[in-house]
Amino acid sequence: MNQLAGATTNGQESLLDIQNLTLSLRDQNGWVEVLNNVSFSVKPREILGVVGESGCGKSMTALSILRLLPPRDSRLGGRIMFNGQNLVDNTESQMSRVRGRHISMIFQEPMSALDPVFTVGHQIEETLMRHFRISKKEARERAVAALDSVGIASPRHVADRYPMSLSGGMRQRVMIAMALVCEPQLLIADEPTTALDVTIQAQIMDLLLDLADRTGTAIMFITHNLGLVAQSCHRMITMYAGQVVESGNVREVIANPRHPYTAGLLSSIPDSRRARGTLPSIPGRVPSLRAMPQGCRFGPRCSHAVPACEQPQRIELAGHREVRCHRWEELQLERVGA
Amino acid sequence: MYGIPGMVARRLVQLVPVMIVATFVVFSLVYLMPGDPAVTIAGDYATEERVEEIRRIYGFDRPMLVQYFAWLGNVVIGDLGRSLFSNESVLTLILARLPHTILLVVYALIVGAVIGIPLGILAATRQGTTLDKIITSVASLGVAVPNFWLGILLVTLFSLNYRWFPATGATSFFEEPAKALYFATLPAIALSTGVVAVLARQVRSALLEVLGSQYIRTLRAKGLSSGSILWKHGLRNVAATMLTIAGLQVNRLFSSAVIVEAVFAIPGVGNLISYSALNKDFPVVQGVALVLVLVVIFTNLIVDVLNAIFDPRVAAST
Amino acid sequence: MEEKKDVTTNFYGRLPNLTRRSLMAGTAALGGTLLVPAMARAQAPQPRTGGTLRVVMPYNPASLDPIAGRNNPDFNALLMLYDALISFDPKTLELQPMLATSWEFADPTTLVVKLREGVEFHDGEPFNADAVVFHIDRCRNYEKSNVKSDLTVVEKCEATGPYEVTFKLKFPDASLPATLADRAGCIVSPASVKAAEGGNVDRNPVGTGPFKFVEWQDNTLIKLVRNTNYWGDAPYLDAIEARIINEHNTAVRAVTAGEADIALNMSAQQMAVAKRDPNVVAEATPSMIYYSAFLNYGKGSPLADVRVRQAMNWALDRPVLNQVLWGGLGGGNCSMFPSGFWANDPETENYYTLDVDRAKSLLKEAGFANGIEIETHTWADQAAVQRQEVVSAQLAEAGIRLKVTPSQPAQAMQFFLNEKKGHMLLSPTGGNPDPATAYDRHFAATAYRNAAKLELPGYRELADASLNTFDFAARQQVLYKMQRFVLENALHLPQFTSAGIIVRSPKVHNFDFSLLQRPRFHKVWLEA
Repeated sequence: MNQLAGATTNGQESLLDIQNLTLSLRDQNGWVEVLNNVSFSVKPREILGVVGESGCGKSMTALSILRLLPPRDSRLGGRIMFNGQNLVDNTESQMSRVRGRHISMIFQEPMSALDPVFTVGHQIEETLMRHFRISKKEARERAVAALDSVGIASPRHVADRYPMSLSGGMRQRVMIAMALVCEPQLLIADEPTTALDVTIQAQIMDLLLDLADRTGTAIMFITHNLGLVAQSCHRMITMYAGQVVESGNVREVIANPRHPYTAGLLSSIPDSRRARGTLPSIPGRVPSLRAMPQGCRFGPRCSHAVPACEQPQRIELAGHREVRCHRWEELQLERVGA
Repeated sequence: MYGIPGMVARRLVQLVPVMIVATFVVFSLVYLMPGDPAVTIAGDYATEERVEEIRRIYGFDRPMLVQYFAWLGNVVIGDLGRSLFSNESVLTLILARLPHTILLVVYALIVGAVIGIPLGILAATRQGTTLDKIITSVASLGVAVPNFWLGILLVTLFSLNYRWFPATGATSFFEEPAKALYFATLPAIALSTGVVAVLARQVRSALLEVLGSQYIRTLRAKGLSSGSILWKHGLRNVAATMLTIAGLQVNRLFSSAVIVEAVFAIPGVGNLISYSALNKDFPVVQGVALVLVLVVIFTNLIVDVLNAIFDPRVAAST
Repeated sequence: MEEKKDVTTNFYGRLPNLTRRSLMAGTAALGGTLLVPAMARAQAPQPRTGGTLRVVMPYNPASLDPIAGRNNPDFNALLMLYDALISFDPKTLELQPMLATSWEFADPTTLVVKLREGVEFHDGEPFNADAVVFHIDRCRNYEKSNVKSDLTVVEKCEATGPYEVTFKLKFPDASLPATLADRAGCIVSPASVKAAEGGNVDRNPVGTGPFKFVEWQDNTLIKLVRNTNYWGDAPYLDAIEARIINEHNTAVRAVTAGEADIALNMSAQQMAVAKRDPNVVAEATPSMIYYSAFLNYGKGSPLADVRVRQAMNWALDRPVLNQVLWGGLGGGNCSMFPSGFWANDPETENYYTLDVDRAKSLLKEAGFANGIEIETHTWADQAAVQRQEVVSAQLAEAGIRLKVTPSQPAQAMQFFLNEKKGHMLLSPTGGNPDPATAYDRHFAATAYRNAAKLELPGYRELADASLNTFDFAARQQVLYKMQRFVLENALHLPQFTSAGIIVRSPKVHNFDFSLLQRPRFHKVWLEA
């Protein structure tokens, strides 16, 4: 468990500041809005958890930050401020200098995330040589060191192997090595352990947090697993239907959720202490993208809904917290034992 | 590449049964073809007795299997026999003519690749645009265009109208390489349309598949330029597909060469086998079939070796 | 023809036509070229000695041994290499001296042939009576000889002088000299035969002809060079290169592109294409080859009834067949010979003309009021299929339906003639130097092409007469009667006589494809 979990990192300049990010995508039926006024920030060295159900827009947010969506079929609005620049305004060429060097991303499926026809060592070297003017020999050494740092035994031998001869866990380690080898300021980790065995998940998480600490990298940790967030993150945001619905310090949010959806998520965590009965779940379904309610998007499923919820909900502040619910002060939401 | 020598050795061993089956099939087909070589040898004004006599002299009256195994027995000691009509050694005949056909096939393959692969890449990187649609339609047409029709068109335009290229014939590549290429240009172009079409289509779809894969996303996330992603990673990943398809085209090119050789009066093995088959000149037909099977197998072997070099997944599975 | 022509009693027993040309030849023989008007000579382009003639032809000879081959196109190369004992006028087929200076029937079963002196084979060996005897024996005994049946009439052939050979015949045969103008008469060097393994000279021909063999790449190229030791006038050409290009249209393209000088054995289609090009000359000349159908009129065949056979003949529109299938270049009549040929009777040339009603009433008489179905064989190539379709369409108008089986030529012959399958075989045929041979090869009881192996009453007398009548005029009458007999009895279904078609550069002079499509290149010359 990360000893920094729960510590606040106030008073520092944001590393990444997302302001009113809107994303529309185009499919065969035309344009549809996928992210609506998403705003949050990441401080240097901070571990930010991003939770929500599948399809709530977590991955889309990540891909938007790195501008990895197909340009012809996506439209970004708002600002993504990073190192004084608005990434939304960057050209492709400028973005390619950011990616892998200042902001890295690792993905969920390690099995298919590496190019099968090059050795893992080469792929790490490639990243280095793309961003730094160093010799092949130097790159090689650094790549081997990177493999070593992720806990791979015989890193020199493994460097000459192809991805297909490595296990899922090893491939994810390679991905992490590759993502951190340039010592980026921010690492976006999109469900990095979901596809791995439970036993390995913890190892990888520890590795990630340890390395990030050493290289001084902030992590934006996308997951649907609240348990992991509770263990590893400083702050968290909850997303629902393309919007941020709650954000704040992890301990506080978990102890005292202010948004019904967050509370619902928390109470859905299987708890071995509740031995009997059905698994609690949030009734209803996420509204379809083309049929979003005008008002609170969670309204139809919320047991605390009132007529006023049919108005668009703005972000309200609660201390260092943000909530998208006008009833945040009145509601007493069930909490999970801290 | 520990697997490669093993793969080569295994292929060479596989060669034997393949050649036997292939030559047996060819032998049966020619045997079953209507027509009697004895009648052909005997000629228009021959009597029934004369035809019988010829049958005896050449051994056509023996059962088919006996004739086949007699032939096979000779092949094993390196004797491909003699033409029934010209009495020339089959091996000599083939060796004299094979270089022309191989030049034609290789030339057509290169022309096809030089035009087809870039077209495929272009279509894949401009997927969905008008250019992509144009390339895809042209590719479909290319498969449909008959080689002989295109050949005649090319000759009429570039040999008869503008005297830019010769209309007929071929020269030896070993003696006069530039001149040989000059003679082979129009035929090679006529022959290459199928290759262009198939390569363009397959490269396009293979590249699209590759460009849509997860690891491409990783590469972009690493900060590689799209050029580097396409040319280094994309192409390397489709290399195996491209090679395999090119290798398959070789088989197809040899059969299409028959027609192009007729249109351009090129004395290659295509011309040899079609003329001999019509005459039911068994030894020559068998000999050519044997040699072609060998050529095709070796081409496939080379393709597989190259595949293994380019794609570690292939090397591991050999 | 500028060839020296001995004024001799040739077989036909008549003097050469007293044309201006032969007069000139006569004066030339008397050494009087001075008498030829200078004007006449200046107008014609002067023959040039030199150059290599580039020939293209679609058919590869099976063999360059004249007695081992079989197809008429082989003669393109054969007559470059060999001389025959007796030659023929390219336009009339009138027999002419060549290696034989004269020939005469001492009695109906004895033919005495006098040979030319001072002739050598390409290998330097002398041409003489022994060589001829050796050759004739070889024709009769060599295992690969295809001319054995041509010489069955010969009982014995012996040298009766250093330059004289006598043939003893089993029975009278007036067509023997014509046979000596054919394959059997092309004399092969005995020395070359003796030196060859198994006596096989297929690939290394040695004759006495105007050109000598250099090389033969099978189905690709035949190279020949001038015979500087030729007994006659020296050939104009230095050499001949004959390329074999199987595709007819490609052959024409070679000429059009200037890569060849002359393309032989073309068809009507190439004529049409070549005519459009002002730089090449396309020529169609009469031919002894005609398109017909062999009929099986044996017992049990629907064609046994003469009325059915006649009906078929009345149903054809021959001028249309000629126009559609041979570009109008042949002869649209029912004769086996081209118009103007000495054995062709102009009176019966058009014995059958289109008369569908007559055809139908004949069928009705024969008991086929509702039409009749005939099983027919045909060749499988594109041109043959086209011919069959047009013929079928015309016959169908009269209620005669053809049920067609296409196959390769040799196979079609096999089915129809040996296995007796089907009633009719559509096929080109002909090309015999002597008309009596033509009849014999098709309608005699033993003829290969006679499927029924039957002779109709009256045939035998006429056939025998055609062979043992030696007087030209009388023989001609016999052959006229034979022509009538064949037509009245509708022994076959003639469609049209064809034409020999070549495409050449205007620089080629003196080329004559000849009535038999057996051209001689002796006097061909090439402009620079």
